[in-house]
Amino acid sequence: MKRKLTINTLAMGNLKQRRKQYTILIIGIILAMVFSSGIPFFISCMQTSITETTKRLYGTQDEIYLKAMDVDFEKGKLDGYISNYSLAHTIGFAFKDEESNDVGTAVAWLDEKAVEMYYPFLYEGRLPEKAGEIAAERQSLMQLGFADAKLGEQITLTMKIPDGKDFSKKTEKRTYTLVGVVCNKKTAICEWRTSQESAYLPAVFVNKGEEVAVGGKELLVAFVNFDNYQSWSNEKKHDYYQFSGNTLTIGTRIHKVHNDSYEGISGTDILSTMLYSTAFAVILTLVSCLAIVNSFANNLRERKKQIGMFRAVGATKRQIISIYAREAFIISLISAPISIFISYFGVKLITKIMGDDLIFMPEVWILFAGAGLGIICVMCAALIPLIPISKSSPMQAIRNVDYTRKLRRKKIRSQKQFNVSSLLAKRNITLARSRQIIVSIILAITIIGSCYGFSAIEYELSEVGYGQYEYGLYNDDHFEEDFVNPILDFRGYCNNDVTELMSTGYFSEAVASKKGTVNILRDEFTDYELIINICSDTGSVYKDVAKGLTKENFKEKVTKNFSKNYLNVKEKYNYNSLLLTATFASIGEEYFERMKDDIVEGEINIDKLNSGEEIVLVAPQKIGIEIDDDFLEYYRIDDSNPNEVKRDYLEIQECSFKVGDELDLSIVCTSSKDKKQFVRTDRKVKIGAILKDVSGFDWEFPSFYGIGVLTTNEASQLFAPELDYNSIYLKTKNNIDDEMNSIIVPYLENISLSIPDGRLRNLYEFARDNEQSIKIGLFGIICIISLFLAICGCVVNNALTARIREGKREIGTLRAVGADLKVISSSYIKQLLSIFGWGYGIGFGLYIGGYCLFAIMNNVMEWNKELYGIKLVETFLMCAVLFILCAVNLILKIKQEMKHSIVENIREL
Amino acid sequence: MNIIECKNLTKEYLSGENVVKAVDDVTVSFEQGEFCAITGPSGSGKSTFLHVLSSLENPTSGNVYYGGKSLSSYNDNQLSILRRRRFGFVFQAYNLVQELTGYENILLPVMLDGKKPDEEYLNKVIDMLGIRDRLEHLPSALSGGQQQRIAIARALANRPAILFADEPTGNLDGKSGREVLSLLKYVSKQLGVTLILVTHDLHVAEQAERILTIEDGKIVKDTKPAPSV
Repeated sequence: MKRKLTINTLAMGNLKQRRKQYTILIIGIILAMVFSSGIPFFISCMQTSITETTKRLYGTQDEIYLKAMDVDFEKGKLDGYISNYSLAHTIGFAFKDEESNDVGTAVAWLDEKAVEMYYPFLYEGRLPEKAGEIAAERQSLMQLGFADAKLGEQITLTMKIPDGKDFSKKTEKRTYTLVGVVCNKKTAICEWRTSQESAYLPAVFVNKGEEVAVGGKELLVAFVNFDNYQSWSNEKKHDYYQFSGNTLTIGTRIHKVHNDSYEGISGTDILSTMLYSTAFAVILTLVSCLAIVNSFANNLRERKKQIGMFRAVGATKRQIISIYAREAFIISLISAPISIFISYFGVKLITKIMGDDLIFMPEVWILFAGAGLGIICVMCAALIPLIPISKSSPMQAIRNVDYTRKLRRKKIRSQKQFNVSSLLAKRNITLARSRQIIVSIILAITIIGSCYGFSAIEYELSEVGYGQYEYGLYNDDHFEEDFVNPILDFRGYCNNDVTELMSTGYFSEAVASKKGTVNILRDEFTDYELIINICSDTGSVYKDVAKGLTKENFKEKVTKNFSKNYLNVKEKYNYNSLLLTATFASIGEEYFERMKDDIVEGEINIDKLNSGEEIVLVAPQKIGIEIDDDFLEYYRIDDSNPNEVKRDYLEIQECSFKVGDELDLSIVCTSSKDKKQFVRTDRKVKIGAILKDVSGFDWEFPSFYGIGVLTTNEASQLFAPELDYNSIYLKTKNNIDDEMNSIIVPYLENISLSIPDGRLRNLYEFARDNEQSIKIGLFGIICIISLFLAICGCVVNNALTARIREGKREIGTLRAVGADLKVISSSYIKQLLSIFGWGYGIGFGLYIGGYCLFAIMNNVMEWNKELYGIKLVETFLMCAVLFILCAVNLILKIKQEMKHSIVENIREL
Repeated sequence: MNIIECKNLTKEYLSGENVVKAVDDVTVSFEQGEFCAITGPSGSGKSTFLHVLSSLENPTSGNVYYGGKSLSSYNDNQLSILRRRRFGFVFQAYNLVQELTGYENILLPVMLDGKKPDEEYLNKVIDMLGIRDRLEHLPSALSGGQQQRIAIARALANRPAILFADEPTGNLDGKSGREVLSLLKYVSKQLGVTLILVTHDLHVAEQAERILTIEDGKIVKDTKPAPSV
């Protein structure tokens, strides 16, 4: 015997002997490690992916100053507002043709810091390195008529030359070689910006130091990072607004807070996915740990006699712990690399499945840290049952004293007649109640999780699909001047566009709508109208309204403190009465059918609408206002969030309009004869119907913020003949697919890019991507449910297998006295039934109880949360399948045991 | 009249790469009501012989006949029924079901058979074995001798034809061993049960009507000692 007997050799010997039993344990440990390392790894990948995507789409700056020539950034630095800044030097504004010389993009070169901060991410090629080279965003190339331009191709740009303050009317032509195509950043950043603003943000980049044309002077765009913004006091924020407010006259701020969503998966989607993943990771890791504790406990119970023997021959508690903990440690060391491998490639696969929106940027240290954590969890799970067992005396361990004590405590009385399997099951259940708890907890968690999961599946499936329309062409409403329709230099879509679109043969329906501003002339404002005027987004009626507004001074302030613009407009267009500003909108006749459910009063008479005799008034039935002193902002309440009424509002008023009321409407529009001239059109109309706030309507419906005057497109000619459509929503003739989408999109993009701020909303792709992410989500939910069920299966199987192994002698004895397979297996099946019964009872009970409690609280507390439906059948079926699988497995195990002779069963090993 | 017999009974085991014949071509028969002791040195194969004879293990070859019918023709269920109705077993380690009380352990074969217990008979057995005050106890609360008495009562509960006892006194002290043995003898005689008992203790064997001596798996001696006075 040359080999030395050490704790390691003992542990390894035990492991080798119990290979089979340890396989399930190792699988469990690998799973636990995958959860503890894989999910944080996945979350970190998501996080880095978000950071990288955000960087690619928006850059790393906090703010962009579009015309930053006169801003003293150094002072901003000294004052502690700005930590650093960089500049883009604009040398021109490139446009496609003279007719639409307002459609195009700024051409600039970036200083070194700006390349870092603005981060023009290259899809292909490189940034310009020498004179005559150019890199551009793909969408800008399309806009400039170079949609098919390839790298290395020469392109000639027609550019307006800047004069140091703005782009002048002087133009020049320059020819460049295209060397790079960069990510479409401008569209993302300027999603909610007007063409006047976005015109200054460069999307075409030339070589560093390129001179502006002779006689011109470059414009500057600044990219700014705040100096530790999180620590700013409200006062400092206010001061900064003053500082940057001054710069508004010379530059427009684009704050990062606007950049909270981007193409495809939105930031909030990813965040919620991360939250869910974390929750599942924690639950799964806990469940796995419970499973491991259970497995180790079973394992040790089976080996209690062995432990007793070790104790009898003089092993100390520490040595006992050492032997068995060493086994656990060796097992976890075997499991760690496997789990790291699974996690790494699993996350890589998931990232790939989730599509191009996610970028796989692994932080491998998290995997190792997670696996390390997994090893600690496994060691803890092993020590939990090991420590008490190691403390028992040798004879306690050998004779199973606990068992005897428990039996005595129960004060069992003899049954005069009994069913052997039932009585045995009953006694075993009574004695092994504590062992059953872990299994029942895991079952209960599984049931709650799968009930919730199935409800989520049902809910998510109901969300698949898109509205009636697949594409939307729109441009954001913007106003040259408050209270006046934005006709100057503004072009929307016209009837010709609609006719052309319909003539392509792709579309079966086009819904066009117009949106502008209308003034309702009043001799006096009602209290309701005062709030409407504060909240309106069609013009600032009051000057600095939020500042110092209290319940007491509310009326005084809003009846006196009119803004400069308001007074100017009144004077300029000869208004003697007060102006109640409202949104003017028109839409196709057929659309009014859909609004029937939202009518609060009156009825919609299309003929009267078409004749201009009546209008439909969209007005919230209740409106309130709250001031946030920190931000000098106001918040309104309306029909869309009625529960907000509970908040402490400065003022709250009910709608003061009634059906049949006569309104004096006045619209200021460009003259059809001379687009530079504005004409005021007044009309007297009656309110035909009042609609409640319709913010829940679809994309294709114009949105309202204050109140809205709604009529048909036909009638809009009477009110504002020059007003173009600002949205056209299209429904395709045939079932749309990716191939057809790829044909239609470039065509629609061409139309949208031909007008300032024109944009395409691809609802087909949105729905398709949404469906894809829902499918991934569903797949995930099903995987998680299956995983839970698998863990449950393993735990139950482990518990009962251990019980069978422990009860091997008992099986032999029963066989010796004449029990057959039926009796023995039915005893175990009854124990299985009890485990499942408890688990199912607790699980379903908690789920239903929790659901009811949430529903009641939702009602009482008026949370107005959408409730998932109760889904019990699917979970019940899955649980039934799990039960059947466990039962079959159990019977097979008993059969396996009964293949041995009775003597082998009985014999003490 | 023979109640059980075996012909050319062989039982082989694999011990590493070697085949060990624990029972080697044994042919023997037992008469109804007989008390037979099987004896031999340790490892001679006496327990294995008893196990194969009583259907607790399958023979490698040869046959066991109960009431003239070969046990090899019985399926698993039939063998279970046979064990619960016609055979009784007493083991050296008692093998009581730990979760059941003494009385429930005794009732096991009857309950497995789905019968109503014959209380009169059971009371008789219980009184004969002197375990009435131990019936409500769990096995873990009983001494070795008491457990073995419960095991004997269980073996007799279904009025078996044969009682197989494998070293029934092996785990007991001398006094308890003697008591258990006399009880076994007494009860089996009273109830007319055939008792086949394995022991390595010659003093125990000497109390039997017939002694089979096994060595290396073969019966080397079959003697009927004169009844002791």
